Amino acid sequence: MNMRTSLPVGTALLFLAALSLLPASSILAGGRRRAVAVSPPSSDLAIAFVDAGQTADGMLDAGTMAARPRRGAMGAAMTVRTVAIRIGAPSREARGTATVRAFLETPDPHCAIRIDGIVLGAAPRVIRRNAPIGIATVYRIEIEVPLSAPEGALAGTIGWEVTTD
Amino acid sequence: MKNLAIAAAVTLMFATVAAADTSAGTLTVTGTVASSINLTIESAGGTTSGTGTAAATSDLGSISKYSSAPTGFTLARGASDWTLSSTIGVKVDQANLTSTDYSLTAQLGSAPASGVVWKLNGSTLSDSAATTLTSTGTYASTGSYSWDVVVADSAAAAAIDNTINFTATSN
Repeated sequence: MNMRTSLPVGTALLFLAALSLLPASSILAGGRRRAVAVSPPSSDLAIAFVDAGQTADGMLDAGTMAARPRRGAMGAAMTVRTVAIRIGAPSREARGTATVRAFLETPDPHCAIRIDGIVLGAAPRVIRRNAPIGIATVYRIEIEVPLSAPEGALAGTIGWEVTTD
Repeated sequence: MKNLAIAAAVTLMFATVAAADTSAGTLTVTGTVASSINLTIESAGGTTSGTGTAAATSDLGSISKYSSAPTGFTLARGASDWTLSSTIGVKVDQANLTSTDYSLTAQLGSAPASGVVWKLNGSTLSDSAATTLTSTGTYASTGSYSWDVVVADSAAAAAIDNTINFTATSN
């Protein structure tokens, strides 16, 4: 007489499992910034380059780079810059933490780029764990040009990803 | 019912794990690579300091026709003059350059003392014009150039100090 009592337990479990997949698949399919009750709103994770001295509007100019004479040999040309990145809106205290990853979205074959000593490649690499949300964090960017690289313009793009911890 | 409760608990846990939020941004890096070459003095006669740099100093001490030659020199006595002979090693390195060789010149920094002649590779140096030592220098290889200081017997006893300025130019 009662369908609930007559429903097999196994079927009920399958039903629940299917329900549980719905929100999860929407998160994965969307890829980015899907709001979930326990996560900050998407705008709270927006990446901002706040070091106006060396970066502006997501641009970093390494300037003119030339090899440096060293005793007995020439050393590769290298430029070091620091950038400050804030995750989300500014706040006095961290509103959680996030993992910061970086990769070469558009690589330049004539230079190597390191962030905090980590060599970037095509795949995202973890640059910092537990980066505070809402407070700017400084990263050291090294751009190194080997002696064999031809003279001329350099251009590359670093992709950044932050994920809440 | 107990099984249903467990399933619900598993469902809640799964939803929590999937809650990580992600955001992305890009930083464009630009710059300009400039070519460069670097000249170093690798060796020279006399008591030399600063080898491996672009500013070496060679001290010959007190020299005379009838005393022994300074360190790293030979002394040849002529009828009316005498010659101190040695070599100077010069290396030129390049970076970010497609050039395959370079030209090297030398010029005295000041007029030589009266009765004193400075020579490199057999060519007399002056302070008014550069002397070409090679037009096909090989990068990253130390070139050795003969260095002679010819002193006339008539030259006054005085300091012969001078500077040889080398200039390398990529071809």
